[in-house]
Amino acid sequence: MSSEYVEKSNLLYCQEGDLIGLRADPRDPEWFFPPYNTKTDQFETAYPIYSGFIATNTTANSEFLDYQFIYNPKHFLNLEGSQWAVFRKNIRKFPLRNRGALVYEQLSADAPFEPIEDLLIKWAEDKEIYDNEALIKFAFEGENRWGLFIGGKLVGINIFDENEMFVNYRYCINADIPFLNEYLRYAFYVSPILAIKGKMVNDGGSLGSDTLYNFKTKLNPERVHLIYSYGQKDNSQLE
Amino acid sequence: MGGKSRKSGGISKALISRIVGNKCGKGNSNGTKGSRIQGNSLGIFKTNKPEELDPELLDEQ
Repeated sequence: MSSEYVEKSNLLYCQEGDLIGLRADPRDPEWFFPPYNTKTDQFETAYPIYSGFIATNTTANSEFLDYQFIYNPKHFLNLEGSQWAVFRKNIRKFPLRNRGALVYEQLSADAPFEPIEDLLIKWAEDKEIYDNEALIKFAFEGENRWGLFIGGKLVGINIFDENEMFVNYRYCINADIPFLNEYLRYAFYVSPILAIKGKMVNDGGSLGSDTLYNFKTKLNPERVHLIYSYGQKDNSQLE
Repeated sequence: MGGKSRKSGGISKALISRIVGNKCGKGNSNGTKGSRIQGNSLGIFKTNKPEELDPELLDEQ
């Protein structure tokens, strides 16, 4: 979660009795994240909740939602050892197969609209996109958008936001070019901007995709958390 | 993944236009601006927020 994510996802701060938290729809009883109980000074999970925090545990009313892959950017700096052999090979293949000046740079707020639009629409073509409205806002108005250009042509965008604990790697929007996905991730993790922030990276989950799960596992995460949704009131917790 | 998902859908020009309008960026050819950073392993980095960077990494363009 980040203030930018809250804003771009149209989440609303709501208060209900002693509970304060975020909801996607104020009429819906479901909280987006565990609400904070001002009386007990705790985040509660005994209510319908879309997504728990990393530290929240399973309860009788919890259901697995997704993973959360946490990476240490420092691990990407030298890529030594057999655990990096495939990734190392793949990121070397990308510039060898794609001739032209490679530039990775931050997109300004007034970056040309059409190249981003074209890339985004093509990338999303065969995908089921969750929270597509938030994705569009991040793609065109995100505060941290970095583009990869080959010979001046935009072929990929990395988008992140941050909170106190993590840099959240939100999106990797890319043209359908072999090994570009790996190369964009490499550019993201070794970017000096990330080193200066000095935070671990939360690269989200796998959205139910085995391919994405395997891809993220091969990047040697520091930790993999399980994230849960919570259903109706768990009475055992309230006793 | 066993849990529920938030609403999903596609991306179209119409949806983009509805969400963010149809802006015409006025950036340079790459839509970027700023200083080149040296001393990185890829040698391809630029940023438009030079104030966030270590001055030793910066090299005026």
